[in-house]
Amino acid sequence: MKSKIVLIFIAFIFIYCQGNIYAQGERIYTTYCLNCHGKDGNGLKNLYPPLNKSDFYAANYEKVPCIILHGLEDEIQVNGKNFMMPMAGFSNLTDVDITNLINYINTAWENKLPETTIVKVKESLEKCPE
Amino acid sequence: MNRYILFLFILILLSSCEDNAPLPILGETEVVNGLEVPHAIRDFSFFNQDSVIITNENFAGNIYVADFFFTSCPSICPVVTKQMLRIYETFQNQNVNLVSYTMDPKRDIPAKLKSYAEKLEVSAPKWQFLTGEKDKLHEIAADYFSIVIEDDEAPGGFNHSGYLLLVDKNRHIRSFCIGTDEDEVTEFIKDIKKLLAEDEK
Ligand code: HEC
Repeated sequence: MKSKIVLIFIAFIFIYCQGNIYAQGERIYTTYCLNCHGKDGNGLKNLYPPLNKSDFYAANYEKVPCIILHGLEDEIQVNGKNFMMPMAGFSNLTDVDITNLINYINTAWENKLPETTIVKVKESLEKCPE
Repeated sequence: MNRYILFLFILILLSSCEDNAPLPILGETEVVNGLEVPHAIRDFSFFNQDSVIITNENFAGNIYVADFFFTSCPSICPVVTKQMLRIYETFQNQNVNLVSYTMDPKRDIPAKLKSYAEKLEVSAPKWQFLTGEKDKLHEIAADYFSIVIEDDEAPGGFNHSGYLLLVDKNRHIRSFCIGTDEDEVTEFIKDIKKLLAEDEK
């Protein structure tokens, strides 16, 4: 009986910690992105695009590190809606920050995108159009 | 037992009294011609998102919620705008207007405000986005914010305060809240309902 409780307890902690695996990324999201893209990642009307289930995000996966670092000023289409308002870059974020942030977004809300690595992020950043 | 019921009764009475108390008129009273008058928003005249001149006359007999923002604001404005939108939707069919003054008139020309409003899917006259001379905008901001304690440490001072202000038909400020705090805005919405009810009496 006791061992069962201990097991449940351990399982609980495990799940709990799993949930917080990208705590660092979540903190960065809250500080830098949440104001516009929202707590729920759904953005705001046609002003700020969603990061939750964004087809643009999934399709431009390679470019996301560049978008975060340098911003975006193109007319884009996200989930069938047009967006055209410049987003300033976050040049203060390091490669590690960006990796943590992307990994948080990739599994936040209803997103189920694969994990990225710092190596991949660095590769993407080398190819940023400037 | 009886005493208990009596106590409960008094408690209910007291709490309902509290609820029925009218919203206070905020701000320092001013002395005009030897008479004490409560603080009121001054006359103003600005352009809205449709390049139409909007003055205080446009709000005569109407209550409205005001905030200050700018379209390229990277920090708290989007959060405040989201709450303004909540108010817009809550009072869609009621006599409540919204006014957003830009703090960046150089960039926020009417066309820019128009595109912002369109992206938000809102329109005048329900929600006016106003721009004009910088000095005039600062003056009117000072008028609204004279009721709140200023935080000198905040970058940009009141420009970034994110306050929402509730103004009655007689240009008096009756309530305010911090527009980034969803719970505060929930309370603020109750105040708007109270003011609407007051006007219906
Ligand atoms: C000031 C508001 C603002 C902030 C803060 C902000 N963004 Fe954006 N973001 C935008 C806007 C506006 C666009 C659309 C840009 C365009 O039209 O070219 C956008 C687009 C994007 C896109 C591509 C479109 C999509 O939805 O998939 C990504 C990815 C993105 N932002 C990620 C982020 C991340 C990560 C952060 C935090 C580091 C962040 N943004 C912070 C406003 C903001």
